[in-house]
Amino acid sequence: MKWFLLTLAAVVLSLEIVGVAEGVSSSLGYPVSGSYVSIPSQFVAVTSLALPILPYLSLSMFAGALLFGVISSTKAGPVDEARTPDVYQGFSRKSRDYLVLTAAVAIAAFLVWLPRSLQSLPIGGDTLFYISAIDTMNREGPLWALLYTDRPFFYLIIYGLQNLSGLSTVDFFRILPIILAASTTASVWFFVNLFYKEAAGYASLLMATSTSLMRTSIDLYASFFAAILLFLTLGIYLRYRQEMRARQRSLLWVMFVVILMSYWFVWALILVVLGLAEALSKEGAIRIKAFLAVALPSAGVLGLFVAVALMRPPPLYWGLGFSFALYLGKAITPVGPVTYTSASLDLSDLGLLQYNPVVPIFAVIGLFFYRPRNFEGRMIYIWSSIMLAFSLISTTGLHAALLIPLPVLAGMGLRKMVEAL
Amino acid sequence: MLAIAIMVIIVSAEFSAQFQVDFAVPWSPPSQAGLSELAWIRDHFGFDNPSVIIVVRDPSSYLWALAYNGGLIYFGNLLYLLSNRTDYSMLNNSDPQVRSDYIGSIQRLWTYGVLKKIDSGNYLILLPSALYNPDVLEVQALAAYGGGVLSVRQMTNVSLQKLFAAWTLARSTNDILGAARSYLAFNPIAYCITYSNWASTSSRTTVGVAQNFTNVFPCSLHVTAMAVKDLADYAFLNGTWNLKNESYIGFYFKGTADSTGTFFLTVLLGGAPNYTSYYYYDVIDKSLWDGKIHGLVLQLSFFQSRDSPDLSSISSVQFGVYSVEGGVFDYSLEYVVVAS
Repeated sequence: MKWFLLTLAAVVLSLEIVGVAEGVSSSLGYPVSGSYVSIPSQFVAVTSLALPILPYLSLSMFAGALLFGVISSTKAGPVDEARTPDVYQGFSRKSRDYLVLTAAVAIAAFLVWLPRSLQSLPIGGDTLFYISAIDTMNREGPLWALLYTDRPFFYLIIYGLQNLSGLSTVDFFRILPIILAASTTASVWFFVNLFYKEAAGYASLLMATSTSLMRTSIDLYASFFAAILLFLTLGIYLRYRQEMRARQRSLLWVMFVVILMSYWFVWALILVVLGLAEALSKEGAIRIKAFLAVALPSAGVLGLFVAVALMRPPPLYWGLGFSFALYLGKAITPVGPVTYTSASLDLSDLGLLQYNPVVPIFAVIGLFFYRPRNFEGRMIYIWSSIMLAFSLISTTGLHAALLIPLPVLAGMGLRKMVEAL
Repeated sequence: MLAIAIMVIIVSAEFSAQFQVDFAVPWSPPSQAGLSELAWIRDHFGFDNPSVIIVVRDPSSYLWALAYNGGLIYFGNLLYLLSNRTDYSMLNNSDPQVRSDYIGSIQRLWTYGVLKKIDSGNYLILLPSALYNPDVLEVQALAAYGGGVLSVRQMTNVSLQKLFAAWTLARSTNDILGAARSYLAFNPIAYCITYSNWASTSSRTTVGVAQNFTNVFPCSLHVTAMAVKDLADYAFLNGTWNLKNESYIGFYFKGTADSTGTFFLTVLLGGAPNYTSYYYYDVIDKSLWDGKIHGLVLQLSFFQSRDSPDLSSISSVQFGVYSVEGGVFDYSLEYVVVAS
């Protein structure tokens, strides 16, 4: 039975591989012809008939898997036993891991480079805005980012990189998404490697090939940058939690402030995820205290920005500390505050992620096998639940949907399938 | 199983490659003429010039103008900017992209203190004509600058307010022709005595002289077209016109459509028999067919052409309906005029 199922899976995947490859080739202007060439294409067409219902299906499956994990969290998940201490990692194993990481980074870089090799004009609408922002900083100086944007650190980094590169702004935005894609893939590997080494390679490969990475690479550079900081900070926090070193605490202070000044929505997400996960720990009170010691300095920095915003309202200052209502669709204009976007229930952003159905399917499998029994598990469950909820709201949908840790869960799911079979 | 896991990764990579090819594309760029005008402004005034305000009014143009020119880009209707008023049709627009672009643009102008000093003479206000397509009333506030770019000319506050009032009235009544009559001298292309000479290009379209439906002209032309798929039938009037010195063609229109899919009114100026050379303009706006009276003024410079026609020897004026799905179109035309 096992071999029959594996053979069937291999045949289905082979047909998908050939069929989708024919589709990509045709889209690139090189249609494939031959006697049996239409069979895989027709197979892909038949399987894609399920795509319209996938958002609803995967929403139900994903929410169901989260609920199932919470209800049955007292049972040991297979992943808990799968953790392997560092001392058993041999040199060849480490080399293989780094080889997989290198392959994942190369695949991410290639997939993000691909459309840029085909287009002469900048890709994506927001790219045009970012080009004008960096050109404005080049004329008005870096202080512009602090005064007029809610992501000053992100803009300063991009501005610095553009100046270091020596490239024109337009050319710089051709390579920036490639760098960010490679960095995101590596940061996922770093994060997963800290609590489930065997799945780190799978997670990074699935991140490199996920629709969320592809969509982000089009023009959501601030989200890209924030996602990298998110994975790095969570990873550093996991280490700090085990070792409690002063150097790690200092690094976390810096990381929290950097995230706050790069994308405060993600900063708030980290605070809620880590705070709740710590509160649910056995030694909750002590853990919460240690967590607050790490997080409070960044809250103090935010307080400073809010104070500046109160003292110098628009149009004098538009920066961080003023921008909270933007996520609620509100803005300040010369004629006063206006609501320019109303929140509503919207599945379309979640549907975007279904373009590549492989990742959501394996993410559900990952959730099924990975229960919130330990801190990492609770963290991932809380993170997934919050972002799933926000992804259903029109005003936050796209950014929240892209922040659901699907590739991480899918990597764990795929790894578990390899172990089980 | 490891082999199957590798196959899963390959399938995932292929899906993502397909996604990239399908969706990682440039944000709908404007016409080449529009981009050339933005490039012309950048070449002559530099990037992010704080003394230059560029005016555009569609979301695609706004982002491209930001990227090409930076600095002060106003997204909206010119006369609202010139009279420093808030355009609530933009602020409360049903399209979220229009709302956010309008808000973004006025926030920037507000930050730089431009709005209060818009009439100070410190700013050169430029319109890339291929991107903005100013109407006949807006043109009254503009002058040619170079490279297809228009600039705002000096106006007194009284004349600006008068123009703004005429423009807003024209928008609210759908009668830009009526408002433009205060600024331009319009001449009919034909008088009622010759209206019986209007004919149709096929038996599917019937044409007849009818009573006027405005008080501007003594008669009107009534047309009923039973349009078939992918084919345009015309009502036409033959004659000889020299439109070389004219800039606009205008008319009153009242019509209803019974059709699904795409359809539009086409105005055609024939330069030679059998459609070998002509100018044409498609009025895409479907709200034209709401059964109410619309006064239109079209710029002859925005007409497209086929096979080098000559405006100094136009031999026919034609109105037709093109419909992808076919249908019944009932409409009336009155006061078909030209103006320089």
